[in-house]
Amino acid sequence: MTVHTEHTGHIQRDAIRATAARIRARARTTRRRHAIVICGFLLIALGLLVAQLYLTGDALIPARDVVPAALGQRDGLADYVVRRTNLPRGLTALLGGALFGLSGALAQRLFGNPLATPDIIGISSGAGAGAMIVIAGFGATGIGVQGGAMLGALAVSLIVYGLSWRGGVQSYRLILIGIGVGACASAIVTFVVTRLDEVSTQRAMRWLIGSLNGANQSGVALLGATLVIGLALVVMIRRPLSDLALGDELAVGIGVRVPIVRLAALLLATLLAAVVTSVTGPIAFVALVAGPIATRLLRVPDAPIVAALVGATLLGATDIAAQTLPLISPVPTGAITALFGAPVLIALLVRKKATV
Amino acid sequence: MTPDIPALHGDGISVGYSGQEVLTELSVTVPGGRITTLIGPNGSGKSTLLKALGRVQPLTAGTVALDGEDIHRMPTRAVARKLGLLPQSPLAPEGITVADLVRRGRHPHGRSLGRGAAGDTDAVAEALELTGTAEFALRPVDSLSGGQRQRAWIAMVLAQSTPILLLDEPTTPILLLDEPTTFLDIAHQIEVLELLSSLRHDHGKTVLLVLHDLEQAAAYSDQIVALKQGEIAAVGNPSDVVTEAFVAEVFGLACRVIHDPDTGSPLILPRGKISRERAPQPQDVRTKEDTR
Repeated sequence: MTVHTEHTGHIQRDAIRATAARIRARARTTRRRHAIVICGFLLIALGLLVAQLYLTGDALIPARDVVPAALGQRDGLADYVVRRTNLPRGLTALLGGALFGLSGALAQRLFGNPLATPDIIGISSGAGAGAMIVIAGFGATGIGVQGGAMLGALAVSLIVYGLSWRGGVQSYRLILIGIGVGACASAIVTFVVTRLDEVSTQRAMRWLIGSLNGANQSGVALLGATLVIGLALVVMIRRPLSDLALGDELAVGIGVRVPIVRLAALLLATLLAAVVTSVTGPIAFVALVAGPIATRLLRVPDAPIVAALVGATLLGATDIAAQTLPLISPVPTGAITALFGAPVLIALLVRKKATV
Repeated sequence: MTPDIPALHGDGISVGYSGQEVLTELSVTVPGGRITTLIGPNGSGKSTLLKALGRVQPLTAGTVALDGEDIHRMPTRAVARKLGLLPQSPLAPEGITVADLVRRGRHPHGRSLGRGAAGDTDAVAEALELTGTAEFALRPVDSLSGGQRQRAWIAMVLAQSTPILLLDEPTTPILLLDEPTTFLDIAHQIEVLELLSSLRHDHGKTVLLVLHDLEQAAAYSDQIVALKQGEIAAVGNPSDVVTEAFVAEVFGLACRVIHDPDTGSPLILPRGKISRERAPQPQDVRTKEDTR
């Protein structure tokens, strides 16, 4: 029994064939749109990386030296500025933005709510509290701060998910509890910061606002590896995760193992957010807006992978702006993602049917 | 599938929400290749029973067998290739087109990763044609009327190509959150029921429905299962089950039951206070306003 001839006899085979042809034509258009959008974003990302190399940095490097320096063929000042400072910073912005976008889009789809992103539900504040505690308590730097941030993020997500669990997670409950727990974490941050000595305070503030200033190669390697693994896992759960938008009953009806998919998406979104926040600090709004921008560009219900690309270009562009814009530069990147992101958030809230 | 083997069999099913029993040790058989309809007053547990038989409602006791196999021990994707389920108020991912929605019915087939199986598009096109939704195929689901949307969802379940279909109120429009309640036009209700009937007669599908309309249930079903307060009140073929005493007992409605002169299917004539008052004076042409 072949599937597509099962019911025929009653209705025109020709009509079915024509409908199938129309659907295929539309699918081709959609695929082409996807390909164009993805290629476009990859080109923009590459352009941003190049711009980062040429336009930013503490010292101006002659243009002809930039590319060789990036490839490690220069030394001295050119090597330091281009390969050790600008290149890791540009890569951190792109990879970090991609991870923020990916984790935000996953969480939005998982909870069916555009506000349920890691930065809103307190995970970023948790990372901040974790980082501050290790800076203050153990005088941690570098990897130590990252570890503390990751632990803080995981602890807060456990608390938030645990408190909002009522035989299932309802998104409004999760968001309210997340905001509450996030406020507690922020209070811890403020308290700890007031007790820090001057040197630690500076380090703490820079991390807290979300600066890519201290980007280095080990951070880039961590983000790169996380992004590769994260993307692979997202590809695996993308389809069943998008089926959750049909409602749990129908999702089960078409064979989705709902609890497993939910748990996988939850762990993935949380871990991605924890890793990226530990490296870049809690950069706001990228996770929130990347998903909605991606779905509007593609005109599909969800698009986690394009959300990663949107996040990458968003943070990449913001980071360059933070360093080069007249009047305001140099500012920590996290300070102006909020400047650009807040209007988008307000627009999303004001729209009658805010969507993921 | 021969009609003798029960397609679905629930044995001693109990379901409770937060300590309150909704279904109590209920056993029910859904014969293969037949239309079985669950009826009963609001809150009698019809939808819960349908969901329990479709393995989306956890049981507190009892078992459900699908073709003789415990449905809860089967991989859910394997169940999804045998049994299609349309719950009462499914959700549409925002902005999804009808064709993309219907294609999700193909997800149990083919690999779980990547592109779907070959022939998916043909199955989708066929389901769209069968339900009369092909003309909306490329439109967003949210732009359709409630009735059109209901048919799009039926198309999705048909695209699943399962021998068993479980449909909760397929003649009721599916509404978005902010839409006022409406009813499906009677012609569209009958279209849906005719479609299900042809699936049963021409393709041997097993159909389990929840319907509110007793007469429609009686006209289109091979077997009626009536529920009252979580227990089975009556099981049998429609003419045997739907009687004046039955309607009075299960629905608390005084009525006369006559039989359709063309088909013999039972018709229910409610005998409330007004119809009793009016009965002795057939000449009296009072309007609704007068009787208020």
